[in-house]
Amino acid sequence: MRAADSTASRELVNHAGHNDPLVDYRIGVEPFYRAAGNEVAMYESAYVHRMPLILKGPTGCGKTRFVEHMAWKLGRPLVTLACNEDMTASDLIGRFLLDAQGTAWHDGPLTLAVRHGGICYLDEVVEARQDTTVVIHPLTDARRILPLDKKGEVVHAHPDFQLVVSYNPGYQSSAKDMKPSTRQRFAALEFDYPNRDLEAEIVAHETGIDLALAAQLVAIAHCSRALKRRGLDEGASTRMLIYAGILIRDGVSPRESCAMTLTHALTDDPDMAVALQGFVEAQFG
Amino acid sequence: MNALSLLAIGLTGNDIEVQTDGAQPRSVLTVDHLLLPVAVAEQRRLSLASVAHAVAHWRHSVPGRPVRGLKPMGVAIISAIEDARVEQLLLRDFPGLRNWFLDSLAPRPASDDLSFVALVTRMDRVLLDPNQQDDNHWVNKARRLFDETMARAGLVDYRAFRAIAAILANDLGQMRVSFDPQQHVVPAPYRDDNSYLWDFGESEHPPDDSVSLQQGAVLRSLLPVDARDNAPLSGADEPELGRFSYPEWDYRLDRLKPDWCTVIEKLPAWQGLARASDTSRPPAAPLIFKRANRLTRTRRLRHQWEGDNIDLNAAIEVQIDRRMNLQPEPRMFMRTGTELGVSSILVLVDLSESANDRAASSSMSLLDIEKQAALLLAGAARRDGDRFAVHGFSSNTRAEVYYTRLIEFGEMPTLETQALVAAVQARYSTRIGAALRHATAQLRRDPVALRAVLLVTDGAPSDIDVHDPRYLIEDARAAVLEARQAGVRSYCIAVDAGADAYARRIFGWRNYCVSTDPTGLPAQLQRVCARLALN
Repeated sequence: MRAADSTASRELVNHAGHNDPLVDYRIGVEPFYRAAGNEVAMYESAYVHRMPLILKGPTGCGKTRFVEHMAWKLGRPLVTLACNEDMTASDLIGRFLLDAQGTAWHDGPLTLAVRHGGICYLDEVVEARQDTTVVIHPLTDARRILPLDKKGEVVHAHPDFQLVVSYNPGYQSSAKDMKPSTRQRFAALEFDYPNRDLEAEIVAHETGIDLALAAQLVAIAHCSRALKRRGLDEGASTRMLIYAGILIRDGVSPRESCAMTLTHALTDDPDMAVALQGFVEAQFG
Repeated sequence: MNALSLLAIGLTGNDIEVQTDGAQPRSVLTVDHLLLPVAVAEQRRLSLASVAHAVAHWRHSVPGRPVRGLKPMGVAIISAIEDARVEQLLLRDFPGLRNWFLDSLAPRPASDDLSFVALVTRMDRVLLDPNQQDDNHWVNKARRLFDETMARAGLVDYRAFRAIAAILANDLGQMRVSFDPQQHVVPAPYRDDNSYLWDFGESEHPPDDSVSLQQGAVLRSLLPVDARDNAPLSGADEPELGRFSYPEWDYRLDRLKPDWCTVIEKLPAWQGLARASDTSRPPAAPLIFKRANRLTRTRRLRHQWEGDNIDLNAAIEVQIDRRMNLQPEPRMFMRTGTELGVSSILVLVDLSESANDRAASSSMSLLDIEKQAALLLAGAARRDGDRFAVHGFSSNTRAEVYYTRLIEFGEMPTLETQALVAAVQARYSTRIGAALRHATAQLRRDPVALRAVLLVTDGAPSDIDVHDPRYLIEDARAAVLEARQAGVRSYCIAVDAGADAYARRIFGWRNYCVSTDPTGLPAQLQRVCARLALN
């Protein structure tokens, strides 16, 4: 259940005479997204055919924000699920629960999106076990059906339904990967951190700090990204820079803000921390 | 890897190694090394500034310009101007570095000191800090020329700055400032000796009329060279356990050459228990396997008295029993059980000749570190069911690929094993493909769900009967692909800064990691093993 702000919009919709079971998942305000290439057009082309999509890229580079933006743009509700290793197929499709009368079926988030025409976004899909992800197979080919074996029902996907998954090919162990049979059902969009100017612009927009300061934060991130696979699994992400920028905007000194949101957030290794704080000092003295 | 190396890598984006050595008064840099004097390395701020200055050279200086025809004082002044130029360039990208440099400059000399060193020190100060004031005409002229050139030609124009350096050197000559090339040391303690900038020609030492600067060769000669004189044992001393034939992939023919390599399994030559109590080694910290709780539904415990979730099937039975007025079975919860270890990881270590090289930052050879890591790994793993084995290999042409089982699956490292491991010697070459095929064959028989070979090597595959460097790399790649088809995963830790290219070709991206510091190997092995065992 989402917070109270969505209650108002639900009443609004109900008042208008629609009973929208996905109202909590609708996105009211345009999420800020600054395109780095033609990904918006590519996504729209894929959505015309409801083609399943993989968004891949390093952590905090804007995959989730992008899909939120697209859902808003297309006017579709977005059902997001963060995948984890302990997630079962029932967590996706639904389960019987006990009530006073006995057992009652409750649709899972995936089933909701399939039934009512939302975009279902499985975040970090490789974190789910491979045998869990196979439940999406019949949905992601020409059949577009979701069999609920426990309930004995076959749900035919709503014409607006689309499945989008994200994954970060960088830091996962070699072990964690998608089965080829799962993977080949998707088209893929590759994401990376935006180029320097664009990234500075995004940081400045999201935090309200000035562009020159944002560019300095981006320069720190670029240094840290050079240490990837030399002790860091990932360099500083755009999201981290936004955290740093927010603290700076609120009056924290740049050094302390970066120590808190970048250096110590990225590493526990004292040598690495000295190097990262060195990059910060190289910008802010 | 130490903090300064990481700092240099981050600021340049290239692979750089920072080392500490005491001999020389100023740091020395080469294309990918920085050698800091002990006096500098002891002070945090100064060492940071030294790295930053070296970064300025790496990013913005052209190394090895010919010194021919220049007077020693000219070389010193051009170097000082170049130092200032590249620092200004670096400060554009990293404005915070100005404080590091300012804090680390040589102290301001007395105003009546008009020696060469004093004048250059004062020039360094005014060029770095626009707020500094100086009353010396020559120093102010240097600042004026520098600023004019910067405004006119921009900082990237090396020639323009070299021209003003020539003017300044000429002025000093007319001022009859004396300069002793033999005694000259760059004044600012964080700057390097500038030998990086110059090429002194063919002769071993700088010619007499040139500044006595250390050559980059100093660094190379300081790099560890193995001094240990291992009289190589003849193969006959080692008991042979069996011979196995394996094919080899020839990328030029695009096919496997059947029965091409012979793998010979051997026991290391027995040297008694004495070697086991080799106390000269520093004691290694015990490995602790921080294992993520591997929860799995295959071990979901149903029909429990208490648990995290309702067991739906049991709950439905309870309801049915209730309606039928039967006594319900109250055990209707379920818990997630912890999975038993189900992985077998074979660590395959490279026992080729190069493993005898001493690690740069340690008194131990790579071989010693590998052995130590192997013993620690075997000791740490057994508790939670994951099984490790450590095998080694080396090769001497395709007819003799030696394969030694140091520690077997499930074996506890006893004194005897330790002696056995200690007796292993490193020699010959690295034919990775054949060794990988043999290791895969061992794992193939293992019934567990997760099988992996983890290769630890210090260089690209090579052997004396192969001259095409690509051949063995492609063969190893073929072996990795065969292993994958057999359900055996392969991963590689390469203790070789230049491993990126071939390791990626062989193992595929994400299936290798490059370690530039061998002393970190045990920890890295542990990390990779834990990661491999996890999923």
